Amino acid sequence: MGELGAAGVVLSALPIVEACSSDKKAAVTGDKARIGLIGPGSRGQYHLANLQQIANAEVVALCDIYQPNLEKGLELFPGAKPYTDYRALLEDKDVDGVIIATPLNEHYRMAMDAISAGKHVLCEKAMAYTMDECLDMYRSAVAGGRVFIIGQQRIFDPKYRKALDSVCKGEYGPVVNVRTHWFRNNDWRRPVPSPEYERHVNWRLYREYSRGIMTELACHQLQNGIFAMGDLPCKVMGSGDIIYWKDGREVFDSVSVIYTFPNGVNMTFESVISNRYFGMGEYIVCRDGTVDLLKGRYYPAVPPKKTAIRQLLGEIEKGVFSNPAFAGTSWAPETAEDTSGISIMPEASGDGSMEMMQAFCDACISGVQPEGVLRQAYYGSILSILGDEAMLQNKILEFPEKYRVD
Amino acid sequence: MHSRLELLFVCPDAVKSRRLCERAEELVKNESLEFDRHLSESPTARLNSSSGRVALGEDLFFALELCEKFRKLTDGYFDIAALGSSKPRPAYELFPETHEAALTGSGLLLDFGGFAKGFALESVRNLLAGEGISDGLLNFGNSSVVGMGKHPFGSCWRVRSEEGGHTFELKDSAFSLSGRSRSGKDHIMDPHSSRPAPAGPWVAVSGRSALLCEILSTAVYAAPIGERDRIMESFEGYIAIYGS
Repeated sequence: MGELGAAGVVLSALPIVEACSSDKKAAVTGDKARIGLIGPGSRGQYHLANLQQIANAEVVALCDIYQPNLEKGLELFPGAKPYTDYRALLEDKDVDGVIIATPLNEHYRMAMDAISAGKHVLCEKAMAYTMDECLDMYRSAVAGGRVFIIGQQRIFDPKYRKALDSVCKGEYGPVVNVRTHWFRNNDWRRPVPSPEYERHVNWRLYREYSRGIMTELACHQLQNGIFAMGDLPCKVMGSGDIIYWKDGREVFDSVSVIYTFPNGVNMTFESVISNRYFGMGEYIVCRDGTVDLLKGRYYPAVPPKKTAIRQLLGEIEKGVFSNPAFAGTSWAPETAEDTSGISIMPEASGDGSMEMMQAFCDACISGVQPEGVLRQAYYGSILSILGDEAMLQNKILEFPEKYRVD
Repeated sequence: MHSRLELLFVCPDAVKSRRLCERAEELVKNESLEFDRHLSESPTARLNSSSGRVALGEDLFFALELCEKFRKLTDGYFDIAALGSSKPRPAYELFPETHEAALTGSGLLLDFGGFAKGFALESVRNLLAGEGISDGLLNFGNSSVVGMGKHPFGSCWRVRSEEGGHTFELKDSAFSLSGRSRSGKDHIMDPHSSRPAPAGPWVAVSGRSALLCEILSTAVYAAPIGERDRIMESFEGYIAIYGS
């Protein structure tokens, strides 16, 4: 329990996503982060589109073994040097930082090689295919002294950070449950030009490459949960199967996983990709109210009454001269079941991807690792893999102490 | 005052608007600290618990002067001492030279429940008007409402009663509505019988001053039906509406 308590202190600290202090930013003004991107597939192209909007980013190299994707990447950055061997890109002295946006099973090898080459790294999530690989990557990254970020962008999203900061400070009361889900209705397939590319293009569906829903989706939401709890779960159980998309895929298309923290609080993750009704949801359930991280809204357990003046204001904004009915004997508080909640950060937009990329570019210039970010992402990946193992083994698994890091 | 104060006013300067709201909040909070008999440190609470003279601030002293004046003008049906178990009237004596007051007997309890919201609304209206705000709607607990000027898309402000559907049209005027609380409790006392007023669901009074509307709605609600019109006749420009 002593170790768990210590971990709680560490995890509850808000990761610092600013890679540059203001004085250091001033010192590097005018500098550019020279980026090489490995894997300009769908996610890689998304990163490239964001990089086009970042003033201190310069994409100098692109690498892919799949020519159509390499060409799409070059359309976005025609001046980038094309590679088909990532090791050659890592030897390129003009590259300061490397973005790895390849299938999960490639992350470990490529990231370790990038660390050895002295590059700053932004590696897509999940961190790696196995927990041992994650641990090795984490330790190597820390020892290497270069910037190392995992592409879990939510921790860079201002509204997530503000909401989770309030949760960690206890402003909504103690956390009593973490409820997350991700429901979709599509086969998660990408078109392939010919059958021999099937496993390379649709790598998310095959166990050789990926753990499917858990490593591609759950790791985001599990990271938020441990952030909110300020602790790590001590055990995990779950059930998964292929219930609908029986098209030769090997990863589950339906999962339900429960992580239990030392204080008994549960964190659930559910996903089905054959019905989208519930969509994506990330809820931190506290004693005094519920935080919807995705929408950036807080729902108090006892919501404030929607006042007549608010209603009147809305009508004025629509140009309506109304006759609101609110006159009565003195107001008394009431509990409403249906409430739109309270916006935590109305001005925030996006999902943190742009902020993450900006932080990486800044970090490539300053050489300063954003504090706490890697550890949070590491645990998010470890838990996603542990959940998958619990379902594969059909067992309740305890959190292995060997994967706890300082 | 245990109610929500809402301000809606027309002002193109966002910074000024925010500042005015903050000043209004501070103003009302300060008045609440004076009038709230439930706050042990409030002058009202000290006066209620003291057998001697108590020094008062300007607002509270002025309020006590007004309350006694309107007690007389309403034949005693507006009475801030109605909740007490003792009958001496006046219930308090004022000492203008020293700004002090003292209760006139034991068992007296002063309560500004039928006064404070109207008093606060007048203060806020004066604040806004002094800063050049001409149009706005001020709502204190849904039972006391002031309409300054007019609605941006109308010739006045319109507010309907939740029960009975009566529409109040406010243009530099106010209304106050008194009656059973939403929990159904009779909380307004008939000062003459010292029993809960046996009136109907609600009484509203509309007119220029929010304070006078609140005083009159309380008095008329507490008064027997046969006495109501006579009380209202003394106040030109104020009309009473009776809920059914």
